[in-house]
Amino acid sequence: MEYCSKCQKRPGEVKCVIVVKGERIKCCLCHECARSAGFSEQIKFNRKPKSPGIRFIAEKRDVFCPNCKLGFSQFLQTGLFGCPSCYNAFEKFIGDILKGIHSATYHKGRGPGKEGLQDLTHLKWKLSEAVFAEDFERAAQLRDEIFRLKKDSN
Amino acid sequence: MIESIYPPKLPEWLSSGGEDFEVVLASEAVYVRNIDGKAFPNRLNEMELKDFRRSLVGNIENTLRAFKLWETDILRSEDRRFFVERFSAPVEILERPIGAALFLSEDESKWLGLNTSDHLQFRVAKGGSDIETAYRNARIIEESLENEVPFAYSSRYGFLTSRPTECGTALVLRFYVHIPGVIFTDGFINLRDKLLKSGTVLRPLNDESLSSEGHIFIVHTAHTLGIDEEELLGSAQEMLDEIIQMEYEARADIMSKARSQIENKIMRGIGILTHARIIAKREGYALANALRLGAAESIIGDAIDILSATELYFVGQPVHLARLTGEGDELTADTNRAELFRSYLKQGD
Ligand SMILES: [Zn+2]
Ligand SMILES: [Zn+2]
Repeated sequence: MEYCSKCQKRPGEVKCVIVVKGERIKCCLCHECARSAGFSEQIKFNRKPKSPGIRFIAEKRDVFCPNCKLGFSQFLQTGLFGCPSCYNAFEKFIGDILKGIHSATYHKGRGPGKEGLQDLTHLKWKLSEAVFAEDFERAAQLRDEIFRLKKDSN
Repeated sequence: MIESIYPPKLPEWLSSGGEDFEVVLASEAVYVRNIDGKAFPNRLNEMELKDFRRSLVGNIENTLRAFKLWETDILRSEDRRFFVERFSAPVEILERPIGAALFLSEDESKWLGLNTSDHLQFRVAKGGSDIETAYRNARIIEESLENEVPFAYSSRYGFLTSRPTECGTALVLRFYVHIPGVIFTDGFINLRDKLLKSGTVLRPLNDESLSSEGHIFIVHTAHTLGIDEEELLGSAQEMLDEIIQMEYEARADIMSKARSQIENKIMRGIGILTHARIIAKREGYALANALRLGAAESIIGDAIDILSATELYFVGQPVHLARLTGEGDELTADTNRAELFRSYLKQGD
C-alpha cells in the first residue's frame, strides 16, 4: 500500500498531479490532505476504478494572481495573500475558508468614506507617488485634476 | 537611545487601573488597513518596503503629528522587545523590522505599525474593560487616515487584509484578562470552547502552559466578515461581561470552599518575595499574578496593592528587568529579579 505523500500516515487514495510552472509533479494523498490542499469540489476527479486502492486521479494547476504573481499553493503554506487583487484571483477557493471562520462570506458595514472624497484621496495618493518618483509631468496633471475636483465639489 | 525617552516604568494608561481592573487589565481596538492597488508587505522586497514606507509616512505623518515616529530597522532588537513587553507596539516588529515603522503616541496608548503584516495596523487601548472608548477613538484615527490614503476595499470582502481571515471590518477587539478563579475551578477548557463558538479566541499571553493559575490571557474577537462594527462591539462587551461574571463567581466559590488553600498559596508567594534570592522568569510571572489575586481578594493586607502587583508582572520581563537593574547573564537576571521584586513589598509588617 502506498502512503499519503504529505502526512505519511493514512493510505494514499487520491492520485494528484500538480502542475507547477509547466512541470508535472505526481503525488498520492489521503482524502484529508487532498481536501486541505484545495483538491475539493472545484476540482474535477476522473474515476479510475481499475487501479485498486487508488480511487481518483486529479489534476490541478496552480492558480496565480495576475497582479502580484502569488501562487495559490504558496498561499496555502503561508496563509497570506500578496495583494488586494488576490481576493479576485482566488475567489473560487476562499469561500470555504471564510465560511469556516465567519458567519457570512459578505462584508457588512461601512466602507471607506464618501465617494467623492475617495476620488480625491486616490488622486492625492497618486500625486504623492508621482512626486516621490520625480515624475513631475504626471504630478502637474494630477495637481490640476485635484484642483478641478475640489472646485466642482464647492 | 530610547531609554532617555521611555523610562522602564509602565505607561500610565496601563498602570492606573480602570473598570473591572481586577479581571481585565486592558482593552484594545485594532484596525488593519491596506493601500489600494499596492502589494502587501510580504510581497515587497527590502528596497520596495523602504520606498513605500517613505511615501506612506509622507502621507500620514501630518495626521499623526502628535505621535513619535520610529523606523523599526534602526531600533535595536531589545528596544523593539521593550515596546512589545509594554504593549506599545505590534508583535510583528520583532520578526520583520525591515522597512517597517512605528508611530507611538506620547502616552503610549495608541500605536500605528506601518509595513508590518499589512500596510497599516493601529491600536487604541484603555486600562480596564472600557472597550467602547478604545473603539470610538480608534475609529477616529481610521476616519482621519481615510482622507489621506486610499484604502483597499471591495464591497464583497470589505477592507482587504493580507490574511483573508481578517477581511471585512478588519477590526479586532482584544482584552487582557486575569482569570485565576476560572482556571482553579477547572473552567478554562469550558470557557475557551464556549468563546470559540461565538467567534472569540482565548490564549495565554506568554509561552506558558495552560495549567497553572498564574496567567494573563488574551481574549480577542475573530469575526470580521458578515458582522458590522457596532454588532461586534456589542457582542464583545457581552462576552467580556460574561467572563468577568464567571471569574467573580469562581473566585467567590473558591474563597468559600478552599480559602485556606488559596491563602496558603498566596502567603507562600509573599514568603518567596521576601526571602528568595533567585527568581526565574516564569516563576516571576506566576508570583506576580498570585499576588495580584491576593491583593484583589484582600488576602495579603497592605503588603502590596493590585496596581503594584500588576506592575510586577511587567517589570519582571527580560528587557524591562535589564533596563531597571542592569544587563547580565540569566543568573544575574534572576538574582536581579528577586531583588527588584523584594523592593515592591511594603516594609514593616
Ligand atoms: Zn495525508
Ligand atoms: Zn495578488
